[in-house]
Amino acid sequence: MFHKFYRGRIILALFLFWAATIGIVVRLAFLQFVNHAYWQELANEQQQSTVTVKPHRGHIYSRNHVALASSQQMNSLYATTAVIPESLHYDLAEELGKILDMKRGEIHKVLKRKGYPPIARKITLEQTERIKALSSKFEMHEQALYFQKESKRIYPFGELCSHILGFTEFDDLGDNIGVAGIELKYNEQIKGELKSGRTRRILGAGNMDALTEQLVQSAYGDDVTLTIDESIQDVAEKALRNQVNQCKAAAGCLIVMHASSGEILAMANVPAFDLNERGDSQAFQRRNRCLTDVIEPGSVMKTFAAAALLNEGLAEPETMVDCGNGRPLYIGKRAIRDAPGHRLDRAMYQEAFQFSSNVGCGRMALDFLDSPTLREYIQKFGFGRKTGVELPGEVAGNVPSGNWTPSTRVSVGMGYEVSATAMQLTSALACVANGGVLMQPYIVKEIRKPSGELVEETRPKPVDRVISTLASKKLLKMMEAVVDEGTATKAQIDGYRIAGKTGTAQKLNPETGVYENRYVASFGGIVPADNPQLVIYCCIDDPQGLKYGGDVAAPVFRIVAMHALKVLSIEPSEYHLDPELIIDEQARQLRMTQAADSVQQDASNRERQREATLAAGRMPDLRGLTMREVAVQLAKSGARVKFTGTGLAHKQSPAADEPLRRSQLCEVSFE
Amino acid sequence: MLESLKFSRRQLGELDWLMLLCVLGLTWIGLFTIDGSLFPVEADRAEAAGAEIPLVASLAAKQFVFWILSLGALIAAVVIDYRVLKKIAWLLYIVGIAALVFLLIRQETIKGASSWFKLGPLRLQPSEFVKISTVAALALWLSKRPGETKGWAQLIVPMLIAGVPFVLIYEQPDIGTAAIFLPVTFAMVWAAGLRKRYVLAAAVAFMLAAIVIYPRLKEYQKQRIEVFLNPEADPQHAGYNIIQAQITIGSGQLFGKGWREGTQSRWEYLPENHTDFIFCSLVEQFGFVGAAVVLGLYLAILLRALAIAQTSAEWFGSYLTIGLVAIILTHILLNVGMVLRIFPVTGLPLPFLSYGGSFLLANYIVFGLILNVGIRKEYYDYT
Repeated sequence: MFHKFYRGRIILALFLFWAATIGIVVRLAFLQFVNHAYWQELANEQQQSTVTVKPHRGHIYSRNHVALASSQQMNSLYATTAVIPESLHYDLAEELGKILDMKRGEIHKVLKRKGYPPIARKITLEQTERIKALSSKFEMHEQALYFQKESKRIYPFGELCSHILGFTEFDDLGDNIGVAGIELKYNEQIKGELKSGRTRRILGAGNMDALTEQLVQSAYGDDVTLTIDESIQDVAEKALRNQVNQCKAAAGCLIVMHASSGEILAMANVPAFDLNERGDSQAFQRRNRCLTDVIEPGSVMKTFAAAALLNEGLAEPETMVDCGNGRPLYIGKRAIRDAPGHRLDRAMYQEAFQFSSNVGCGRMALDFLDSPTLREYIQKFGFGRKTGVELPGEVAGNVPSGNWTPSTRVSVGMGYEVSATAMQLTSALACVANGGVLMQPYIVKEIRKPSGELVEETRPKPVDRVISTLASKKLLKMMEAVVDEGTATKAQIDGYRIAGKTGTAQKLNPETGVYENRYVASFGGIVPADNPQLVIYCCIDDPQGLKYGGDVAAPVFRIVAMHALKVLSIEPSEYHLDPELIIDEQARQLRMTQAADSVQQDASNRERQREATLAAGRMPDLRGLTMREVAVQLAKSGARVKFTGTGLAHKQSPAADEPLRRSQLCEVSFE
Repeated sequence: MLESLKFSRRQLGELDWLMLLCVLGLTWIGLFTIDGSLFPVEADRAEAAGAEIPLVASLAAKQFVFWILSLGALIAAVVIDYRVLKKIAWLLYIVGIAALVFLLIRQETIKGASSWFKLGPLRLQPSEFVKISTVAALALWLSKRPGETKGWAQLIVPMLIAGVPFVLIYEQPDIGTAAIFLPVTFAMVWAAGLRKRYVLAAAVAFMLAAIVIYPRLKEYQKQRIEVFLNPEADPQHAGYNIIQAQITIGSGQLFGKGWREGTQSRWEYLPENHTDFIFCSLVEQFGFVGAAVVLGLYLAILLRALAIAQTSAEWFGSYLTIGLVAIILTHILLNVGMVLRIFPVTGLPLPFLSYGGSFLLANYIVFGLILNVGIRKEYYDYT
């Protein structure tokens, strides 16, 4: 029934359908196959986002895993100013100012800026919460005020270990640049890294999956564990500070080292500073003097000359030496004198050592040693080169070069013309203590990843055998006498045998080149002497009043050593103490103090009596006195003294109260 | 009148089962695509809220219910003799116009347009049904003047008939749906035998109309055209939809990412991923193959429908079929053309696939009427 043209038009429509379909398919294929890569790239770009993990600086732990330095996550506050309506600016600035303790005008200015300006850095979690509450109170867009995490370095103990730990500075993401101490030396390991990863993203809803554990971990820095015992360190710092303050001294250093391994258990410096308020500190407070400052060590150095003599078999403790009995030792025009009270006549080397006779020890160096040998030993003990402890800023000190004149040899043998750091001296003393092997000192015990995986562990590292075990034993015995009855009786600790050597070095004025009446008092002690475990070296710079190492530095040693022995459960040398007293430590301490007081009172009474007797030109009762005390007493009368035996004075001639002439020979025997 | 309800077994045999299967297939592909686009987000949200994860996306379930209703409408549209329309076409046309006028007077807008009637829980879009009643009215008017004709009236009167609903819908504003009237009217008039010079004149008139209308377009409508020409100019706002559509299609590849695995939809980058841009969701999930299957089904339906138009027993049925096919075809072309950036964004849904109750219902009625014409090829005269 239909017209032909009608069919024609329907067939035309059919063709149009086909054409349209083909057109669509071609376009579809073009999008899906030809340009696929382009569109896929756009899809990835918008569907994934880069998520960054902020760096997190590793911990620094003490040997007992107490965190000495850690990082805390803090927030920085930013504003997305585009979504904050201007009508809110005033009130918002007002409220934020209250929370952040900032001026309203300041915040108002920030809000006027375009983009995403920072409002405040390092705000606490509590402030963060309050700001979030504020945000919802003003019914603002959730991104109007937003936070970014950044880390802040925290030193929970403030002053403790300040010179060892060092401190950090700020980079873009928080405290993450080490600028001193361990923080500087191990910055590469401790510092965290800014890491980023791709994550899938939902439009408007944020990231949908967590980054891999591995990636997050890699943003965290490693943890460093030190060999420091925080308890010993604490006592060391306090004892040293007290003594420096009491002596009105300029500075002080103290190092506690484990004798056989070279581990540093404590390293204290005065003056010190608070790590959390380092901005207020001065450069002189921040120096780690144990490493950066050299001193002429004075008589402590006699130990190493003695080590050379004994190890080379050139002398024995019993070798007799003329200590001049007050007369100086002349080397050319130079006169070497003993300190007043150090007056000995012909005596055994060990006595000269015990009373630190410059004349006696000088003569030993002059007569028995040659310069190359002494230099070799001095160098083998580690002087003149850095110990290599893992801290920045260490200096090498100086051992004189060229050919040594006899004068130089004598000087070096008693600790002059040679400069050394406290670290070098402690390390050298540890070598004497442990049987003659110089150990590499170290302060970093291990480094671990935050996962606990071990990165690096320090094993004790012998550097060189310097003296034989036998020589070490002989030397320790000589040093023990120093503490028992020589110049360092104030270092004694009940129940422990202690070896040590004092030093009282005159300071060279670097400007005038003249030795002044200013001193560095020092003491290096080894405990227990029969089974050396700890070496403690303490030096105090420019004490006022008392100047001798035995008076100034030895008491500090005593306090620190007593604490360290207790902390490390080092057994006493002899077991003659009442077990009850050991148990009741406090009672023991009290009793000791009381006993010491009464003894001291008693002693001072007797001393006054002796002085009166002496002044009357008669022989005082010397019984019960140490060799040094006797020497000091009789030196005042000008009498010559001959000592026999060791221990406490027990017989004397002339007898007590008999007349005493000047330069009369007194014989005192000790047992 | 009862005769119009006669439905014999013979007529059942005449039913174009293949076409019916194609439509059901498309609807089910639509249901799966709707679910696949919405389910992942819903599941994620439920999981985040600690709620029970639903079996299917809620809108897919709703669409399923609409489909059941639409099946009912389809059966009614098949069973009742289409020739009843000859009697009531004008009435339906006027009722439709009245509804549109009422909507405009009421001024109650949903999604920025006064297009909807609320019927309890349902929202009906009268414009979807006005399309059908207008086509019926046009078919009736044209069928009185069959074959080759001459006068201007052949062009002017149909334009007036279609013009009234066009203006009313344009004013809602629902420019996409309004635009449908142009090609549909033209297709019918052309099929009814408009001479070439009138075709030419109509084309000129169309262009003139475009020139008149363009400056009067609303700002967002102008923007759509500009964006069509250069979407990269403003990728975050005006160009966003069309760029996302292309990203979605472009990342689909041959077999797609799999059902419920489309990342563009899942992460809510693709807007309107279950309505206007469902073709993108389809391509992303089922790839080029999925799109080809859908296009094949559409082509099959349209070819079969044209065959029905060709073999119809009378002018009214034939013109009616042509008009209905034109409705569906225009939707398909404008929608797919839009997402493929062949045409500007018009906001027209894709027949049988896009989510939307009124739209599905209207499409099933359209399709039912085509089937209806197909099973009643002999001439009845029951005047």
